[in-house]
Amino acid sequence: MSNIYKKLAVVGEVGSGKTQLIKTISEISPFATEAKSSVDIGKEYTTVGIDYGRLSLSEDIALGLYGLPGQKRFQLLWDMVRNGLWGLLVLTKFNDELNVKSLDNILEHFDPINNQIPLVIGLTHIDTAENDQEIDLFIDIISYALEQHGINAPIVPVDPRDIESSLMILQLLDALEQSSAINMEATQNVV
Amino acid sequence: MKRIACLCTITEPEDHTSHSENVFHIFDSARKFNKEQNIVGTFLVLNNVLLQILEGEPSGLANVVYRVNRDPRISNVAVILNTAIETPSFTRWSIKLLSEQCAAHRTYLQKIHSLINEKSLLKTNEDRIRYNKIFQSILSENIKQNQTPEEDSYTSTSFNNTLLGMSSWPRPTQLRVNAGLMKICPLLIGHTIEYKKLLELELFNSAQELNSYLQQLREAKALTIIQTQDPSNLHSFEAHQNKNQQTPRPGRFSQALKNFISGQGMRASKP
Ligand SMILES: Cc1cc2nc3c(=O)[nH]c(=O)nc-3n(C[C@H](O)[C@H](O)[C@H](O)COP(=O)(O)O)c2cc1C
Ligand SMILES: Nc1nc2c(ncn2[C@@H]2O[C@H](COP(=O)(O)OP(=O)(O)O)[C@@H](O)[C@H]2O)c(=O)[nH]1
Ligand SMILES: [Mg+2]
Repeated sequence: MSNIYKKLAVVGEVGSGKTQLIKTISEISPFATEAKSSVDIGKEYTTVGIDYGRLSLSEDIALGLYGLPGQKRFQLLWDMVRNGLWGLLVLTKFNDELNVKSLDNILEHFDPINNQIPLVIGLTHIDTAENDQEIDLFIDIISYALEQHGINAPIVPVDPRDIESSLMILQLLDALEQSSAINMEATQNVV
Repeated sequence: MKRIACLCTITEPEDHTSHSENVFHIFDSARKFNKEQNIVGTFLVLNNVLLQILEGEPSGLANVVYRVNRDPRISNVAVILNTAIETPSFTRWSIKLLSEQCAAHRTYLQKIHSLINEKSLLKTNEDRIRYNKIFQSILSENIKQNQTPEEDSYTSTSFNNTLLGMSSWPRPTQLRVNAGLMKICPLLIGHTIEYKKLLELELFNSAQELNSYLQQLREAKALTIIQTQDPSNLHSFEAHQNKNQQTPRPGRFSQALKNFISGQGMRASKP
């Protein structure tokens, strides 16, 4: 059977948890013998400022994890992983001033709707929130920004230090991808 | 202590700033200023209309109004309420970004509406239009409720003969997305699907399991339920065509990922 290699782009501001998430997921990779080659392949990315990691699911199936800085001036890096993306995860650090402009740029550049890329907005550092209202307020602002792009993506809390929480994101992206096939036939679009 | 309500129009940004970024900056500067002036209240935005309810000492409120009137990002400032209060009804300063379709803020809007309504001074026609825009969802919702009083007495056992949909994802503060919800939410968001078809997809082991997830969504007020009037005739052609439809088999990648994650979960739950 042929090899399958898919890519996940993890985009976000400094401190949003990209490095941590990629480390958490890569470290549980069951094919430890591959660790060295993964580092080798990743080198070309790390030298230009992309976090690279990989989750090997079997001998011939792997998910590449690419951590990309959120600002528009890194567009060249975004382009390096844009083709054949399996999913886009935008990490936002709770209670940092949300960089709406950068979120706008990411959504414009990757254009997840037209390119049919499953999109999840991950809310990190949510453990620093004092109450639910604070979280709601932040989510309000993000969903408003998404709405301007006609996007209705899940906004979910994630703790990149936690394996289960990080894998939940992959599970959600997979569910989004799977359902788009069903959506084509079984549902009616609401205009 | 006083409460004022102030209607404004958010002007189109001149540079390349997006509307959302513009709104965000206006809110952010208001947040800082109001904190200094010990003012609490809310900031409601729908498209280019901004309604602020502000509570605080008269001198602080005067400063805000002065500042708002001078803000180049805002025009047509109208103070539509100016009343003395004993105690504030807000405890902090917050923002609510409204959208035409979204019913999520209904209860909140109703509360705000009752704070202003009888005492409001809507002087011009334009003010009336802007005011109605902000509150349109509850104003039209009232009409709807009068028309369909049975909606609230809906019970969980009767998803039969319904068309289901969701306008947005449930808020994590209300309902955390779990593995089951992950399967159905993407099918419901921005779409409608017949309950019957959802059953035919065999996403879960039993109808009860599906119902329990739908029930969770319903309780979080995230689910739109439309009763289809004549279940035997409506969409019968379509239903017939799709009779044997099942969930498309996941590809090798998806299957490998699912296996990996479930294996991982078992490992994590071992003592
Ligand atoms: C198990 C496995 C791991 C892989 N790891 C990487 C990697 O770390 N970096 C990378 O750029 N490509 C990686 N690939 C992709 C291959 O190098 C090769 O480019 C890909 O299978 C062919 O994809 P293409 O048809 O898009 O060129 C991996 C492929 C497999 C099967
Ligand atoms: N408390 C807390 N710390 C986090 C969370 N996510 C990331 N961190 C920590 O925040 C720091 C910055 O994260 P990092 O992955 O380096 O961010 P990057 O700049 O996006 O790569 C690291 O020490 C992480 O362990 C979170 O959800 N909660
Ligand atoms: Mg980093």
